[in-house]
Amino acid sequence: MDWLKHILQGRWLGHPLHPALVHIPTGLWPAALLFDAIATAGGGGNAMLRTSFACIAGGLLVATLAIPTGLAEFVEIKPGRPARRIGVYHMILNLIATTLFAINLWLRWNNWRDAWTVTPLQLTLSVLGVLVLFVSGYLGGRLAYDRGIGVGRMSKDKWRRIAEAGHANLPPTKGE
Amino acid sequence: MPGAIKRIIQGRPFGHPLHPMIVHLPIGLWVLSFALDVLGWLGIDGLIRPAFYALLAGLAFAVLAAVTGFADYTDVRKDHPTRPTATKHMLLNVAAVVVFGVSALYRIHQSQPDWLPTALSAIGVILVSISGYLGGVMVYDDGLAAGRHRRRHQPEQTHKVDAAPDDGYVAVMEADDLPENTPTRVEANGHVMVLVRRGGELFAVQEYCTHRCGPLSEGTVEGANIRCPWHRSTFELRSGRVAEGPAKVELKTFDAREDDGKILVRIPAA
Repeated sequence: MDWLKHILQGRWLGHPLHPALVHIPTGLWPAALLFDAIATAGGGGNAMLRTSFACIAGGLLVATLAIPTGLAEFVEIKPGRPARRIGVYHMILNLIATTLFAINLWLRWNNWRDAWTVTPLQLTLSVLGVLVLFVSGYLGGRLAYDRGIGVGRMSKDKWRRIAEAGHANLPPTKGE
Repeated sequence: MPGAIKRIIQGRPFGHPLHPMIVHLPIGLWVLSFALDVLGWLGIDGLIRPAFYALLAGLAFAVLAAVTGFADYTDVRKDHPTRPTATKHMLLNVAAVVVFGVSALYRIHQSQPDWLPTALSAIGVILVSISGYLGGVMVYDDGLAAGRHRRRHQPEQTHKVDAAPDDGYVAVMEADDLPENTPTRVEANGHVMVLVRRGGELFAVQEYCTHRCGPLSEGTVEGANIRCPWHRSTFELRSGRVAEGPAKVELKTFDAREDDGKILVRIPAA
């Protein structure tokens, strides 16, 4: 099933797919909270709540697509590396955030067209979901920017050429 | 811009760049806004105001993202291979803000699906898709900002020299320009290396990590070793040998000395 893993890893794109996809829920769910807050403070009425609903729904749709891409990244991390444990926490927190927003969506499903207020439960779920997401998203960033997951994975040839031009000592390539 | 403020805008105290955090909002919101336009055209009503609010919120966060982006841009070494990509990324994003700004103006009084704001949003989404792709290239292909929060020094333009060696040595920079414990990138007759002054000694090792060719000049000096910012491979400065992986192959080392106010390195015979 290597071909599937490579598609999910974004090898066809030239860089990891997971970080690209997660922009949608990571942007939309905090935005949903913002619109919930504005609606609660009295601004925008039903239109603001529709916006919030659209943010939650759009985020859920793409978050679901992001899950297999995340797994495809996770399986590349060697066991025993610190990044593996960070990856597990990141995954669990993301599943929690997704579940919270799924419940939130379900609560809004029947009245998004004419609701005028956010219920306390809906608002609480938005707040909790975003707080969990901030932690899981931060860990995702740590995986990339602190542990280098995905960095230089698909650009090995390009950098090798640059390094060779700079007279670097390098490991032998596979053909040698 | 004072160093401390710039460091905060870059996210250094958080151990995580700020710019990639904030950009999620305009990307998510602008894509959503366009999707709501499309759904509106497909017959679902009541989405016109939401599309406007999403777009507007996207603009507000795009401005915040721009501030952090500029702060990051100033840290890209002028001769870094990815600098042209960073410039294109910035220009595309500025164009997107303009396009979405115009789209917003048409939506203030919009009451039904209208081809012009939809078309503008379509163009905007295309622009941010390309610029977002370039953002991914910068981080995942070129390692920009990987490990940046760990380093304290600002990478400078490479000290580049092409000169006939004198007894094998080439003068590459002024000794005064090499502070203690500050990895400094040098290119001498095509050999790219990083110099470190430490405890009265001078070390010179190849610039490119032997794992995936990360930039050691943007890494950190840790005791007697230098650590690559990308995946943390660590090498002894004196011998070039691997102290800690994932790299497996040692770095080339060069003899370096100070003479008459200059730093000289010995270039291997061609």
